[in-house]
Amino acid sequence: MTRYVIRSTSQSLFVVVLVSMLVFAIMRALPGDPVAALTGESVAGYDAKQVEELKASLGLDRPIPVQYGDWAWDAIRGDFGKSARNHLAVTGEIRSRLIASVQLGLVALVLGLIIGVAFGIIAALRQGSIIDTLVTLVAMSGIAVPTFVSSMLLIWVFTVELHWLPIGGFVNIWDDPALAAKRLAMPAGVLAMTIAAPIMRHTRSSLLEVLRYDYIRTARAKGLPGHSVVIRHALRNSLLPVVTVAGLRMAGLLEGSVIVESMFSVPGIGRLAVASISARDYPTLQAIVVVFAIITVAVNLLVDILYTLLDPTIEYS
Amino acid sequence: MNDELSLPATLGLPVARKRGLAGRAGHTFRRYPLASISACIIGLMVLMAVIAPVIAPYGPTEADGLASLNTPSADHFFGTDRFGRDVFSRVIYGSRVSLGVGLGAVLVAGLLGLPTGMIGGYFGGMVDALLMRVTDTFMAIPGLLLALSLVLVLEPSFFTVALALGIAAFPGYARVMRSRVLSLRSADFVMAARALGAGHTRIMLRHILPNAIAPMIVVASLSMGGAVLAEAGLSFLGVGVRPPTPTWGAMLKDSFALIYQAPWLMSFPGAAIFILILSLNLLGDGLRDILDPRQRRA
Repeated sequence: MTRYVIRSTSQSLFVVVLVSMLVFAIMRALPGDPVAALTGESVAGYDAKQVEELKASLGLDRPIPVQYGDWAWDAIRGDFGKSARNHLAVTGEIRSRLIASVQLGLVALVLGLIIGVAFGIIAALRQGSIIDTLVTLVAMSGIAVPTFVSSMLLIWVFTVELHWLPIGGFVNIWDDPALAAKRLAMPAGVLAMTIAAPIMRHTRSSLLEVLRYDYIRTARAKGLPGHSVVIRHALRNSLLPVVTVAGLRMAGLLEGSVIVESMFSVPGIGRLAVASISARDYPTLQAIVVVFAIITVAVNLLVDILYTLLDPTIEYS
Repeated sequence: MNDELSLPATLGLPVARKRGLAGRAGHTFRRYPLASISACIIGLMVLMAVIAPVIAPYGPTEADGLASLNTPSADHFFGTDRFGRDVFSRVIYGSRVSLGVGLGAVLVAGLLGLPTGMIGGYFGGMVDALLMRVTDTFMAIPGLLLALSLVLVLEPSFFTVALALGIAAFPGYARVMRSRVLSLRSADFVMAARALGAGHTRIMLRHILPNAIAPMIVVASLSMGGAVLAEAGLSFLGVGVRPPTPTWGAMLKDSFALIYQAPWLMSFPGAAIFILILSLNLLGDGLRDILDPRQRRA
């Protein structure tokens, strides 16, 4: 077990290093002058000597591997350089936007898991019923509707027509829970749906499969009440694959946050990503991509390890 | 009982009825109604994209300054946008980008993913470990952000968007291909081919590939839905195929800015995206049931 954990952790670290190399390579391959890409300033007015000096001051005259090593070493210590948009430290900007993103993401994740698992169970227990059909339909639609389309629909209904929910701004949950709930309802709802839809389908199919096993029949034959069989015996085993799906949805959640945060004006990291795209702020974008990749890898590693702990039949080799 | 001898018939077992083409189509339709309807919808959309100039009443960029933001009418079935362009025509032309980029992305992902998965799964060992870490790397970056960064490097156009989305999607292809190859690698017919002296290339291309293609078709159908979604997302963020080329994502972006004045504008491109992605996903699910019954899911 320890060996398995060590091996998968080192593999994940290797992947993170590869991601950072890839991202660095992409940013160095950008069209146009690297000075402009790094500082956001044009070098048009400078003569050749000044450009060389500027490059030397940014370290751009050194070989690419050395530049990468330098950048990576700084990044490990938490320094992602300066934003090309406003020359502030990128790390500080990301940190200041962490609260909004984390609160939105966690609310969406919890909401999505609860809705997904609950309706997945209901659909499986009432297989073939109207509820089952409805759940399947909603899940299929939830996967096919782009987040920006569902966001627009919600904004149209609840903001434009009904004037119930405001869009824009962010209120810390701990400061004013009621107002925060109003602000978070739509963006968190949209993101929760992206998680709930696939979780519903997998919970349903996985539970249906487990319910056919002999040990469930044994439990029923022993005279255990139906809900006890489902909760204590079936659910435990059927939720294992769901854990993996939840982990895999993490990348989708981060991706969704990019669009949802900018549509609902949530001052989070996703919105920062969109702002840095339109401002061609590559150092910030680079840092966000690396941070998102690290989160994705870490969550999947955690799911992997959790899985082996939860499922005793898995071999660790 | 005439010319043909049939074992089930002689044994008195029920004989499989012979069906004509129409009969077989009807049978498939009854067994997989959702997938069949989806296939028809996708077919109609492809047709719509191909003959767009014939069915669109206006040009995609034909602007009428006097007819800005008209509500749907007999002249303009879906109304007009801010510049007085016919939304109905633009939705029709927009299908070209969605379907074209989606198809292009699937091709790119296949060209990258199939060899990667095949070589990794077939040779195993260090080669496999290295290739899988590379696919892990591309998988670790959220697809939309990876595609976005690549498009920024390559400058947005029809081909670069397709290329970027293909690169973002290829790990999925490589993974499925690899797992399929792993299970086929030691199959009897592969052993037989090897014993007969077939080379690695021949075994991979002639013996393993044909047996691994069915799950890949499922992956292609499902991932095309993802590519269409991502293309719309890129256009929505303003980093997709450049305007004035009509794309559903960019139309939604424009209508979001006008959500107070013209809320109906978003419904047409929104519905188009939804219908196309839903159809692709349902077709993929149906194909999985048809081609790969062992992997059947809900």
